[in-house]
This record gives sequence, C-alpha cells and structure tokens, in this order.
Amino acid sequence: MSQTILEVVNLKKHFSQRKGLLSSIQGRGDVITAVDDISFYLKENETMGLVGESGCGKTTVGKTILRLIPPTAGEIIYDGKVISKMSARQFQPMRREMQMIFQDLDAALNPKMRIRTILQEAINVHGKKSTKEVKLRTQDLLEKVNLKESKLSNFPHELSGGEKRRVGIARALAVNPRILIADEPTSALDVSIQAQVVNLFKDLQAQLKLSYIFISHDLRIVELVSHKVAVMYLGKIVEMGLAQRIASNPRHPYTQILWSSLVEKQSLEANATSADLGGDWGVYDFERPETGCRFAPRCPVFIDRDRPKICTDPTTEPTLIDIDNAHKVACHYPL
Amino acid sequence: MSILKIEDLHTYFYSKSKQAFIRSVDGVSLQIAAGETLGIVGESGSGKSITALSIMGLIGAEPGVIAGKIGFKTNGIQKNLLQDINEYVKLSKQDHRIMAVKKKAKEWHRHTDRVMKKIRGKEIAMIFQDPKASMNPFITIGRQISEAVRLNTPIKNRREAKEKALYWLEQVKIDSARLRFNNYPYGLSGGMCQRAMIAMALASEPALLIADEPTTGLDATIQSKIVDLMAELKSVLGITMMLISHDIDVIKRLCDRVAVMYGGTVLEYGSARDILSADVETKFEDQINREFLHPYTSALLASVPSEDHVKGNKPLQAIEGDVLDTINIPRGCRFYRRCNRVNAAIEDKCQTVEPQLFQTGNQHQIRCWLYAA
Amino acid sequence: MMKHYQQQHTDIGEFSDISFWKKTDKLDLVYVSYGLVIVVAVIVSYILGTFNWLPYDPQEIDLELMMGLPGEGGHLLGTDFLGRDILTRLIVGIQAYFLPGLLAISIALIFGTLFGVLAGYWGGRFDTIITYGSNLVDSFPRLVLILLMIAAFKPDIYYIMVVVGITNVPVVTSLIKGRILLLKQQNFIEAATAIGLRDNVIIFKHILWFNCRTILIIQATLGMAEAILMETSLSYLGFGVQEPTPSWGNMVQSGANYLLKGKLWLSSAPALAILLTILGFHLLGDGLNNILERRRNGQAI
Repeated sequence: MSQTILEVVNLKKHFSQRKGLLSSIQGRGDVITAVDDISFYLKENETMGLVGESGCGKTTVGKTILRLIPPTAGEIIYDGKVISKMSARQFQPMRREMQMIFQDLDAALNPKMRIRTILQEAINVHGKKSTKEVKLRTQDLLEKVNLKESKLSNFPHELSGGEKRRVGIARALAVNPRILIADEPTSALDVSIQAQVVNLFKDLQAQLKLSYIFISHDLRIVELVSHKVAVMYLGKIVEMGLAQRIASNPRHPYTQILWSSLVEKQSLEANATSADLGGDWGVYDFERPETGCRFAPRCPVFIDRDRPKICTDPTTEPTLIDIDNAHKVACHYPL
Repeated sequence: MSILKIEDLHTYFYSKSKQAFIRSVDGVSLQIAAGETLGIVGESGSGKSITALSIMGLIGAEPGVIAGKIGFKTNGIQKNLLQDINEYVKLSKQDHRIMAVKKKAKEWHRHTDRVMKKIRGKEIAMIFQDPKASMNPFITIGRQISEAVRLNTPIKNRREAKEKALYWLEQVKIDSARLRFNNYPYGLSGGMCQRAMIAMALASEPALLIADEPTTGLDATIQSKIVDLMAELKSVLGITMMLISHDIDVIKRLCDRVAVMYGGTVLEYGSARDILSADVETKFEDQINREFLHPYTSALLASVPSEDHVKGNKPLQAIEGDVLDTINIPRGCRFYRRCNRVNAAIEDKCQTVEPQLFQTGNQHQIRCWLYAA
Repeated sequence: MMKHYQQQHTDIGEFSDISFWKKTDKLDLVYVSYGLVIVVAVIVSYILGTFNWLPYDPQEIDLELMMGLPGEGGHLLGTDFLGRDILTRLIVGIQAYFLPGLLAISIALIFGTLFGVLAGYWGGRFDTIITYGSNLVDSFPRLVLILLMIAAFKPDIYYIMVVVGITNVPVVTSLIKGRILLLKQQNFIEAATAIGLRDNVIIFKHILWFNCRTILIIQATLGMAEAILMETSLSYLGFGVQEPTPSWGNMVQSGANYLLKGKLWLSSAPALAILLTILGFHLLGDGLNNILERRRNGQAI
C-alpha cells in the first residue's frame, strides 16, 4: 500500500471584493466563497482528477495547495508536515516538491528568454549547479518530455502549442517534484496534440513515480488519466471515488448529468433523452442558494421528488457520506 | 441547388517578421446546398476559421490577401463575393498559389466592403466562439435582437420587431424570454449568451448561418445543450449552416456533409456518414486495424479519448509531430510527415507531389495517394 | 513525373510587389536614428559645455557685431543682440536643462517603478492607496504646482524639475502596474513563484528587466523631451534660468524683442533648437516603442 503524500483537510478559501478606499484599508468587502470546506488525500504515484464547471473553484484548490494564494481556513499536509501553517521562509525550500502546470501555455515562459535559459534557471533555482551538471540535466529533461534539442535556442513564440506545453512540463520537472498539479493542461491544445500530452503525463508518472492532481473540465481525459475523481460544484466536492466507478455508476445527480452530457454518447441517430434529464439545465444563471443543498435549484431529483424540504433546509446541507466502499456522495437522495 | 460555392479560395497573410506569406487557406473548394449543414473539422491553423472570415469579407486588405471565387446565391441571384479579385493578385500558373499582390488591391477591398455590408448579417450571419465579446455590452439583448430584425427583415415597426425578437428568444429556449429581454449580455451565463447570440443571428433570417466553434469554451453540460438546440433548430427551421469545430463529436451530431481541413487545404470531403462512420479494414504491419478512409481523419478520430480507451486502458493514439507550419509548406502531401499509413508503393509520390482530391464513391473526395485512381 | 511541382517553395524574392508593406518599419528606423543623432549631439554639447571647450566665451560681448547673421565674422550661427556667439550660447544653454531633466526623469522612473511594483505585485491595500495618490497628483494642473513651488521657495530650475518628476510618477506607475497585471493574468508570476524563484528575482529580473525595460527607456526619452519643454517655457516666461546665464528659453525671449525689427534669426535659432531636440526625443521614444514592442510580440504579423 502506498503512502499518503498530500492531505487537504477542511480547506476553505474566500475572496473578498473590496469596494472603496475606507473599506479597503479596513479590509471589509463582499466575500466570495471559492472553495468551501473540502477534504481529500492523495497517495504516492496516484492521480486524482478534479472535475467541475468553470468557476467551481477547482483551479483555486490547486493554487492554494501550492500556497500561491493563502487559504482562509483548513490545513494542507504534505508528507506529514502542515505546510499551510509554515512561514514563507520555511516553505520556500519545499516549493520544489510540488509543481504546477498552468492552463496558459505561456505562463511558465518568459517571452524574452530562450528555452535553454528558461530551463537553466529552473534547474538552478534550488542550489546552483556546475555548467556540466546543468547541461546533462537539460538533456535529460528534453529526453523525458520528448523535445528536440534544436528547440533549446528558440524563443517561446517560435514554438508550437504542443512544444510550449512540453517546455512547461520540463521546467516543472527540473526541480524534481513529487507532486504535479496540472491545471487544464490540455485545454489549450489541439486534439492530436492533446493525446500526445496525455500520454506524456502517463509515461512520466510511470517513470518518475509522480503523483498528480489533474484539474480539467474534459471528463474523458480525467477519466483516462485518473485513479480517483472528485467532482466539484460551486466550491464543494459533491462526489468522490474511484474514477471507473464514478464514470460508470455516478450517484450524485450532478455527476450523472455531467457524464451524460458527453456529446459523444449521442450518435448520429441521436436520441435526446439522456440530455433531457437535466431539466432546465444551462438555462439559468446559477448562484448558490442561501440555504440547503447548493445544487437543489438545478437538480432533477429535487424536482422529481416534488421539492422535498430537506434539500432546502438551512441546517442540512448534505455532507460527503461514504455510501459504498470509499465512494462518497453529498446528496440526500443518491441515485 | 447550392447556396454557397467556394472555388479555389486562397487567403494568405503577409508576416512581416518572417517576410513571407502565411498560407492560411490554400486552395479550398466547398459547396453548401440549401437546408444542408456543412461541417468543417480541423485543428488550429488548419484554416477553417479563416475560410469563414473570407466568406464574410472580414479579411483586411493588409496584411490579408485573398484570391479565388465565392459564389453566393440568394433569391435566385448568383453573385461572386470576390468579384474581380483575381485581377489584383498574381497567381502561380502551376499550383495557383498567390505570388504577388497589386497595390490597388486595397481599393478592391474598400469596394467589396461596401458590397459585403449588404450581405453580412443579413444574408450570411455568423456566430462566434466568444458570444460575450461579440455582443454590445451596453445594449440589452432584446434591443440588439429587435434591431437586427428591423435592420435585416421587412419588419420595420418597433413593436412588431419586439414581438419577433421575443419569438426568437423563445425559439432558442431562453427561459422567461420576456424577463431576459431586458438583460445586458454581462448578466447572462455563457450558455445563455450563446443562445442569445444564435437568436440574434437567426433574427435576420439569413440564407446561410456560419457557426465558428459555437460550443468551444462552454462547460460540458452547456455544450451538449447548445448542440441539442442547434440540432432542433436545424430540423424545425431548416436552416443552412456551415459549422466550424475542432470537436468531432459536435460535427458528427449536426452535419450532413463534412470537410476535413489540414494546413489550409481540404483533405477529405463528403457526406458525414461516409467520412465519420464508414470504417475500412486496413492491413498495416500484419495487423488488421479498423480505420477511416483518410489517414488524417483516422488519426484525428483515434486521438480523441473515447470509452474504449478508458475501459481498455490502452494509451491514446497520438498523431506524432506538430501541426503544419503554414509558412513553410513542404512539397508533396501536407500530412506526409505525420502520416502513419505511408507505404513503399506511394512514398515517393507522397514526398514530392501534392495529391489532388480523388473521387471515391458517391461524391466522396479524398486527398491521399492511397486512393489514386 | 509532373515537372511543375518541382519548383522551390517559400522563396521570398518572388513577392516583390508587397515591398510597400515594409515601409512603416523603415520609417521607425529613420525616427530612431534621427533621435539618436539628437541625443548624442545633446550629450556631446553638454560635455563640451561642462569642460568649457567652446568656440567663444558665451558672455563675451562684441559690440562691433550685433545681431550678426550665420557665418558673419566667424560666428557659425551668428551673434545675438549683444554680439554674443549664438552657437556657444546654445551649447551652454543645454546646461540649463540637462542635469535638471535627468533629475526629473530619475524621480519619475524610480518612484514610478517602486509604486508600480507595489501596486501591481503586492496589490491589495498598496494598490488602493497608490491609485488614490496617483489620482490626487493627476488632479492638480502641473503649471499651478510649479508656480506654487516658485512662490514658496525660489525660481530654481531644480525645484521645478522635482515637481515635473513628481507629476510624471503616476504615468510610470500605471504603466508598470499594467504590465505586471498582464503578467499576472497570464499566470506568469504564479508560475515563477511556484518553481521557487524568490520575489526579488521575479521583480528585478523577470518583471523589470525583461518586461519593463522598453517601457522605462521610452518613458525616459519622453520625460526628457517634457523636461526640456518645461524648462524652456518657464525660462521664456522668466521663471527659470535668468539672464545672463543662457538658456534656450530666455534666448527665444530676448530675441523676440527684435522680431519686429526684422531680425528673425535671433529667436528662431534657439526656437529651432528646441523644436528639433524635442522632436528628436519624441521620435526616438516613438520609434523605439514601435520597434522593440513589435519584436517583443515576435510572431505578430
């Protein structure tokens, strides 16, 4: 049994929207809850997929784990150490253990630096190395991400999307991380390149024993790379479990709709029945209701069951309950 | 009867830094018949969006260069949207690519802009990828739609136009249309905004609707709803549509005919059924694979993750190499360097001679030496 | 074999007719080279002035040759109403604005960069306070501030230039802040933090050196042009450098007295100097902006 490498406990992140000069200095303002009390753990050499619609807070989770943004409450435990409570100075040397691949292809690439310099910088971040070491390491990285050596002297804008993504991954690997948080790593890429990158992620995991948190809205890809999947809705995990099981047997109505919405399942002779499940799906602008289950306003089960009180009761927002062998669902009426 | 007939369209852009033409669209010929939906599939840089912009006359004189013929037929009148353009550009005699442009091409653009103003939005409407960016943020969606009605249809009366706009909002399944009528675009979610955008495009009752990646950037759940809506509109209203997407599933669902584009040219063109469902058995390295006719289409479809991949746990079949650089287009087949079905018999030709579109079967054209007659 | 397919592709030489598209590039080069000539001329003249390597003594009065035309009596640009050599006085006039101009630029760039980084990189309360501060500075007309300064202290060009520098701080601040926000939006800064780079490396190397240096250079050239304009106009009005110390502004002013007598050259020589110099700095900034920023965007068509 492999060891738990990362644990997130009751993580919360609120963003405050400041309005004027006075309220800003006093630190008052509107509060937006991006991540609302989520907990999960990641084991070594395991991939956890984080799925959800845009704005559900999945990227925020990734950035909070890396301490790119401070959490409002909750703990992040890496390798037995509570990193969320560390001072910046204490945390600095641990940065290399966890890396992030950003959705934006250009994020990691200074447009005015050659690829060689970009990689060298990353190699030298945690302790300067000799020229020879750096050279060997650069070659090693290029080999790992399957990039031609001739690209080293190029500037980022001279690369194609797939190559930029590879450089981004190489840069992250340069510091020998144990966890990679990949935030929509394929969404900016073409289909044919997407497949290359997905395969690369899988190869790297086998080779380097990496653990991934794979954030994506592309369900198929998440299903393909992940061992575990957590489905997020408006800042909360509503269902979590093994990837296969969530795909084949979703228990939360939201997950059910998410998976049935894969257009692929509807063939040329389309029958629109599966999509009808969603009711008024997509026609509302959704905001979190004041009370009760946050999914209730869009929930088909809620409507089918004639709006049961428990779903809108302020005291009973459903919590994640283990219903079947580590398959957790936050719903009063799991399917 | 075809509404739109593109013949040998070339759209290039002059790159100052590279001092050369980017050959975004390089000899495309397509047709759309009334009531039909033509899907254009391709990766980024394949020229699919530029084809659409060329039809709309939205290619600027500098640095854009255009050549070819776009025949557009409405109310029985046949027009060439690119009238006289071939007098302003010098084409190579051999492969028809643009060699040079006359300075006066700018005047032509100015002239044609005037012509296109009467067609754009009225006869050919377009839906863009980012609906919020393509609507005026300071005007309510209702007003934007009713203005489209008054501008482009015989209805000139304000109240009637409003009724018509409400009708279109209902057509695109916007809930409580009367309330939403007074919303501003920023108050709407992405999916709803795309619906409003479709309503606005349809409100002008165009002869042709061009949808450029209408579902990209929307959430999965919303995507399928928009696809459903478009499928319904297609069957109920019988609209003629050109649908551009990189998402093969969307194309599969909505299109009658499909053109697969790569590096500025059409590699495969035919009915959706022929291209996307007829798989052939090919023998490759003593292994029988079920593949699609064109190697590119085949590889593209294989690289999309499907249930088989997840269940069988087999790796995705990626297309090796990178998307074609449309400045330095190599001689020979554009897909040659990434192709996995080149065999010894045709390799020489693949490398040196660009294949033409070979006819196989009923109106099914394939640009590949495997299918040379 | 189909012979016609054998031709070479991607040859640039064929596209002779599109050369007119390159024109704008060349124009930028012309701007920049003109600007550089002016800048070099100003610097050289400044050095000449400091070491007193001058063709004539700027104060030497030659009553024999008053208001001499260019070339007359060995005076390359003629003499003024007291017979002083105009060329010499123009060279010495650079002393009036050169160092004060540099002071104004330094103030604007140093404080602008500091505030820009504070507001953009750390944001939050810094951002709010700095934004309000900038708005406050922007809301005062500059000339009023300068006159207040003169009234409160003395008509010293350095005092004036401090005000010019301060009033330019908000411009630089907002430019730097904007660039940082852009980088933030691209997750560039987060990516750099994630890899383990320290704040000072990110700020100095990645933000200021790689992404803001062109902005700063361009702001410096424009700031110098502004300082010259400010100095000359104040000296013209009599608030800046006082006679007999030469300044281009007071040269124009004193020459203007003789305009009606048909002696156009006296005031038009320094005026031309002002015009050409300011034009030079502006074109340099403009051209650099076009060339460097386009190169930054790289693949842009």
